[in-house]
Amino acid sequence: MKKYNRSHFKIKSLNLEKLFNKICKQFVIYDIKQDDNFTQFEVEESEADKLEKFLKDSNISIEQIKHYGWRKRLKTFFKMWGIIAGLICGIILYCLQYAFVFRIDVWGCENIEQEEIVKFINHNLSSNFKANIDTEKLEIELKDNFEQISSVSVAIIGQSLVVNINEAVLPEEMEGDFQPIISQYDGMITAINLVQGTLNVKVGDIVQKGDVLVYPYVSDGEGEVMPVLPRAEIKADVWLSENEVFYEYQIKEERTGRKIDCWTITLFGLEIYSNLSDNIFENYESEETSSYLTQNNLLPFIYNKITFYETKTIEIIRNFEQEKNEVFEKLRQKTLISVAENEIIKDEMVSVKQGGGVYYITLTLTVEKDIGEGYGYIFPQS
Amino acid sequence: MFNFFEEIKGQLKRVDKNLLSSYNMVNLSGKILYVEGHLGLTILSPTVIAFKIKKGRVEVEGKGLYLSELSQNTLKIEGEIKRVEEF
Repeated sequence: MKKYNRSHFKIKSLNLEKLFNKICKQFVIYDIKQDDNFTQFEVEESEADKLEKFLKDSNISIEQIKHYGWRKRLKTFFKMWGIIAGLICGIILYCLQYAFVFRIDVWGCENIEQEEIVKFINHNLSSNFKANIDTEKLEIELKDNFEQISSVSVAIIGQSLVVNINEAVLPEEMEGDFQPIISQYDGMITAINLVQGTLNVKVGDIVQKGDVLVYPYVSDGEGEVMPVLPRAEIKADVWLSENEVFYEYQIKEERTGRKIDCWTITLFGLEIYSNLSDNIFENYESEETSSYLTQNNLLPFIYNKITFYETKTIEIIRNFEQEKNEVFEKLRQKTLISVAENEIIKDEMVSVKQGGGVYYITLTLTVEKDIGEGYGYIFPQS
Repeated sequence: MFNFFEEIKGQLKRVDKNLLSSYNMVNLSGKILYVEGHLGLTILSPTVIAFKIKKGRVEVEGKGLYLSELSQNTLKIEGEIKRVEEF
C-alpha cells in the first residue's frame, strides 16, 4: 500500500552517502537500492517535483523518474484542460440535445402518405422540446384530421417521435368512387351475365379496347341514381392477328467472317497508344466501341476499338408457293402467344396480298374471351 | 502518543537519563534495524552500511542490505544483518 503515491528515482552519482545526507534533511527517502551503475530510491509523490529540482541543482544525473499511484494520474488528468473542457462541453451538449426530438418516424402507413403525416406533425408541434410535446393531444389531432386512420399511438423514444398508425379498411359496400368495367380487347360481344351495375353494351355489339362495358351505378324506379360496384361476366369474340412479309427476291449483305481489329488509347483526348492498321476489305461494315480502361477517375484512359467486318452481297430467291405452309405455321405460332390456355379458337383466317414479288400475309384468330369479367375499381375516398 | 524508546527510558532508575539521549537502535530478528538519532551516512553498500552517531560511528554488516527508509533523524535498514558494531 505504501508504494502508492510514490515517485521512483533512478540516478547516477558518486559519493552517494553525502548526497543522501543532504537529501534526507529535506525529504524522507524510501527503498534505497544500489546496483553496479545506478542508485534507485523512492520519495512521496507530493515531494517529487521538489526533489527533482534539488537533484538538478546538485548536478545529479537523473536517469528515470516513475510515478506510482492515483494522485499523480489525477494530477496529470486535471492538467489536460482541453480534454476536460471537451468532455464537459460534450456532456452538456449531450444532455441538452437529449431533451429535444430530432426525428419523426411513422410506422404502418400503406395508403396514407408518410410525408403528409410528418408535415402535419411538424406543423402542429409547438417546439421540439420533449417536455412541450403532448403526445395524447397529437394522437387526437391525427385521428381527427386523417379519416383513413383507425387508431394511432404517438410516443417519444430516445430522440424520435414514433407515430404508429393503424389504417382503416373500407368495406366494399361503403360508398366510394367506383369505376366502370372497361373492355380489355377489341371484339364482338357474344354473351352477357350482369350481376350489378348498368350495362352499356348488348350482345352483337362491337367494342374496342377501353370502351365502357358496365357503369358503376343503378337507377331505381323513381330515376334516382345510386353508385354501386359493377360486377358482370361479359364474353366476346376477340380477333387476334399477326402480319408477315415474304420477299421472293431479296439482296442481302452478309458477313464473310473475316475481320480487322484496330484500337487506340487516349488520355484527355491525346492519343497515348494506337494499333491502327489499314482496312483491306472492299466491302465492309464497322463497329466502334469506347470504354474507360480503369475504374478510377484520376487517370481516365479511354480505350477505343474499331472492328471492320468483311461483307459480301448475296441474292436470295425464294418461292412463295413452296414455302407458304412454313410461313403460315410460323405466323400461327406467333399469334398463339396471345391466346390463353383455356380459351377456345373459334375461327382462323389467312389473307395474302401480292405485289411485285412481295407477299403480305395476315393471320387472324377468333377467340372467345371474357373481356369484362370481375369487378370495377374502388378508389379511396378523397 | 506511545513511544517505545521513551517508555523503556522511563522505566530506568539507576542510569542518568541525559546519557541516554544520544541514539536509539533496535534490531528485529536480524532482518530490520531501526535507528533514531543518526547524524548522517558514512558508508552505503549492500554489505556494509555505516552512519555517524553523537559520540562515534555505527557499522552494520550483512548481506543484501538496503535502506528502506531514511530521514534526517531516523533510518531503517533491511536485509540479512550479521553484525552491528559501535566505534
